[in-house]
Amino acid sequence: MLRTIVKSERVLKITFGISLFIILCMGGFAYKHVRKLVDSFNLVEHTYEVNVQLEQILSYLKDSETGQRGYLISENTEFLQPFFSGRENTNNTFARLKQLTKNDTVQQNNLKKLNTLIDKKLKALDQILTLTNENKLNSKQFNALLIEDKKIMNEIRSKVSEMINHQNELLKERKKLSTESLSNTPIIIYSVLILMLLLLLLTYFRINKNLKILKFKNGQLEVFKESTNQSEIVNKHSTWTYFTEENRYEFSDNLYRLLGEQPQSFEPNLENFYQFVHPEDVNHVTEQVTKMMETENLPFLYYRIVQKNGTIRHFKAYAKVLVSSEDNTRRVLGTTADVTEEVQSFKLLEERNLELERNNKELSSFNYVASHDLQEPLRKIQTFISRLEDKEAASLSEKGILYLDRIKKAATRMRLLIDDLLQFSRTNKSEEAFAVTNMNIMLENAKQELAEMISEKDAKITADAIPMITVIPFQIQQLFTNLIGNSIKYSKKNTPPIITISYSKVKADDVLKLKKPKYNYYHKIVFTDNGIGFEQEYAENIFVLFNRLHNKNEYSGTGIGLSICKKIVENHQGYIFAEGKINEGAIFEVFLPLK
Amino acid sequence: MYMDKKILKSFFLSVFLFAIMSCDNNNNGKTEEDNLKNKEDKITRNQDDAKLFVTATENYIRLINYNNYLKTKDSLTVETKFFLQSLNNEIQNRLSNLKKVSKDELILLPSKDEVLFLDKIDSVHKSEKDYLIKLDEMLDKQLSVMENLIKKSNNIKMNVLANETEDFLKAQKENVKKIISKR
Repeated sequence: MLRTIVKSERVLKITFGISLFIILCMGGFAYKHVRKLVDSFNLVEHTYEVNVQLEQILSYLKDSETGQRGYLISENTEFLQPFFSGRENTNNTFARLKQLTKNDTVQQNNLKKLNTLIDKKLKALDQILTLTNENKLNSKQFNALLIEDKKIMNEIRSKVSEMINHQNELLKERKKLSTESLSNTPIIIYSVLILMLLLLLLTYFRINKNLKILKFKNGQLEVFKESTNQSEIVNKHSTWTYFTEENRYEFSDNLYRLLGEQPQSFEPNLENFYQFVHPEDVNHVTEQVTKMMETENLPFLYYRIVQKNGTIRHFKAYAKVLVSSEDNTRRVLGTTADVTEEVQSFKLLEERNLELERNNKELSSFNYVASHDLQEPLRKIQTFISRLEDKEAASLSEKGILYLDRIKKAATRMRLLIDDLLQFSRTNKSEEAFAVTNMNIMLENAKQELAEMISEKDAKITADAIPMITVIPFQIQQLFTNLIGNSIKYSKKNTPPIITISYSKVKADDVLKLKKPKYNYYHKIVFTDNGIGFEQEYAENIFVLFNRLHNKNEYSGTGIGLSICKKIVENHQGYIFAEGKINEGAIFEVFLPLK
Repeated sequence: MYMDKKILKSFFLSVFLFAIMSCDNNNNGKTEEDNLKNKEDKITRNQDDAKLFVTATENYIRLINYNNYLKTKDSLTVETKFFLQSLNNEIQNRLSNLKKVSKDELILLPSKDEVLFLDKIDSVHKSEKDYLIKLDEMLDKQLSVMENLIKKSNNIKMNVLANETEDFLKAQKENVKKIISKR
């Protein structure tokens, strides 16, 4: 869930960033375009202004000429007013033109030439005026000056016209540019608007989608919070948070309940919490909490609290630091559980265990003593039967001899039972020392032990090489003897028994029938025979003490052998399983841990 | 409230890019009104410069004419006349410099002084001191034009010329005052 939110947040951020960037770029672009448009309008306006100023200069000069002619005709000095103000006006216009055409070198040069011409023109007018004042109106010099003046005026007109033409050329270009800009403006504005609309829609859909996800997640969070509250109440545990940077605590409602208080009934801080801690545990808890603040870690901490009604409860606390991936803030998340019942159960269990151990010891010693002490009277019975057979057999009737034979058989069986029982009780003692043992020697010893039976039944035993294993040697030898002996005993009549012993190393996870294995690998030793077999439904029962599948008259035995096998394997923390089919044989699988 | 640093960073980056994109190199952050005002200010200043140049030229012409007029007066000593001759030459030089600058700056200067007052002065007999006081006043007038030019004009050429002329005029005023004090 967190990953989805983080991903969604990242996508939102990227979308927002890109949208912002595009909008700003488009805004900048539109702004530049509008500026360009305004500039092009300004340039057109500027061109007109230059033309007007040039026309103005001509107008001033014409006024000067007209004024001068008026004076020449009337000799009235009032006519000279435009002539006297002509220079100043022309200077003002030149100042304006100089500023207006400062970026146009062609016009600047033209202005200089025009200035020179006007200067000449004004000087000529001055001279004409001087000659007029000197009454030389009909002199040759005067006429020449008039002609020169006209010539200069024509040059001025031509120059002004040239400059206006230049401005008109510029005007044409600038108008073209401004028209282009003007025609592009609606397209650009529409494009910007459409793009912004698209971005707005995209952002809206994205936010809407995220909002839905957020709502859904919020709902989930509510459910999770409620189920956590319920879980805390049912399981008697609570949570708390320590904000390291703010040195602040937050307690869950159930922590208050565990302390025997109403939820959020006091301010969640250490001072208030310590009031509930058992006086004997306060120092220990304070020490651990101080350590937690330094190391931001709290290993399992056990302590007691005293509720206001005097009830003592046992608490177990654990905490772990959590660093936020968002802003790197650190928080210590803690869990406190009420383990009073567990502590009480544990104490009870300990007592029961001790009692059980005591009882087991007593039972084992009883078994041993009982079976050992039973041998002594049985030995006497068998001795006296033997004497009866040897010395009094002649005086016994036929029936007496039959009864004696039955007593003898019963005693022998009794002896066998006691021997097996003694062996079983010895097997119970698991404190025997483990040693790295050559299993092949153990197997050979077992075969030696059963040599007579093997020879009698003409049994064939084949075995894989078994590696060295850490076992209790004499128990393993007993295990091999019992399993091989069992296969020979329950062989088919008139069919020599064939026993195959195979070895392999197996992984615990690969063998499903191994319940709660403590080790990862096991030695697997399988005993397969071609005997009479058994119904698979009895596969479990055959390991039960004194349990027999066949009549004791048909097959001899006490029903203890396979129980001893199971006991030995369990002493080694191993497993033993049996599989069988009537008249096809039996398979015994022994799993010993690979340590 | 917690503000995401990444959002802030991208926001500032975008604003920065926007500023770069929309930056108008010719504008330099000024508004249209500012530009127009600036342009008009420059034009007005140029026009004022031109007026001051015209006035300065007129003053020079008057000074030259006045000096020429004084040279004809018997009441002036030979030394004073020499001084006036030398002053006239200097003024002529400065006038021609002024004309050169005005040509570059597209200012039309008058070629003569329209005020014809010189003939009327002679009707009353005046001493050398009186003439020199009048000369001093005329130099004062020109000095004030130059000071105005220095103060108002942003044109380097004009400023240099005005500064140099100011020094010259001050020196000449000193000379005139010395002559007056001797009389």
